[in-house]
Amino acid sequence: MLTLHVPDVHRSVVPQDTVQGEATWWLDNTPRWVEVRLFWHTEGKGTTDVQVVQRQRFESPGAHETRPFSLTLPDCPYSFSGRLISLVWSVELVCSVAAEAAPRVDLVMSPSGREIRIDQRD
Amino acid sequence: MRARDNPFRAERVEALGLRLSEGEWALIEARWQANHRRGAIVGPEGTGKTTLLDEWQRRLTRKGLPCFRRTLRRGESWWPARDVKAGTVLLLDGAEQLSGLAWWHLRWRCRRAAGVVVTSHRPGFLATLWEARTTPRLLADLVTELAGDADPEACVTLHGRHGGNLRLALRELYDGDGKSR
Repeated sequence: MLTLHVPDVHRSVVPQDTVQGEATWWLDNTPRWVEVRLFWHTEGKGTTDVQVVQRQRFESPGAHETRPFSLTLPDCPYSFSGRLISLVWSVELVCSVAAEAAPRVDLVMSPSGREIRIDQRD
Repeated sequence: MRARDNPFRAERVEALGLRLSEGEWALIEARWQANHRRGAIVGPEGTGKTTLLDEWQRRLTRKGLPCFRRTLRRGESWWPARDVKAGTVLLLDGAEQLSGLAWWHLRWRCRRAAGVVVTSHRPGFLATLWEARTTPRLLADLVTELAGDADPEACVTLHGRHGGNLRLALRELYDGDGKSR
């Protein structure tokens, strides 16, 4: 079992902000590696684009642990949504052993801390 | 509606599972074994051939069989296949694009492969393992899974308008702001 906890205060952020949280894993076997990834991806009508921006790998992981993490956001791109495409920032927890879907927490990153909407008419 | 909220966005469509029973899978695999582990998934565009190939790859990987996956780009009529090693199963998407000479070369190159599965719009490359077909009922099932409900009559019209191409049908529903119709 893998879980990720990011406090609400860290889910709406501005460029260069730090995202902090806790990663917890409870596995049958000791993993070779466990890491948290900060990435953005697109969702919408076309194919999905993904860019991993930062990783934090936990050294010498045990089979059952909780560890804090801290990741720094870049200057861009900002979170936005239109009718055809949304750009979403996320943090996810992955490891060498677990076959379940990686837990993920979505973030919003922009100068205002709010998603930029381009699908709404003025 | 935001793109990320549209139930027909690409991420959700791509995650739709294959609609084949274990009995149908057993039939496909039996045909493959009977043809020296060579065969083709045949069908028009948007009928689930690539989805079937994805699932086949997962099944082979779970059994510990090494796989080499390749998707031919549009217009790619020649592929040297140098990376296909002996003992590997080749999964090739888009074989209909290969020229006759390229296909002969590929078969020679893969003579020591543990198996070959290709997708094609037309039969004739290898023994047909499965003919991919779609129905309005299948479209309605997929729409229901994505959006919660589906209008059966509208799905019949939509299916016919796109000649059974589910990819295009679902893309049209995206443009309808996520309304199933």
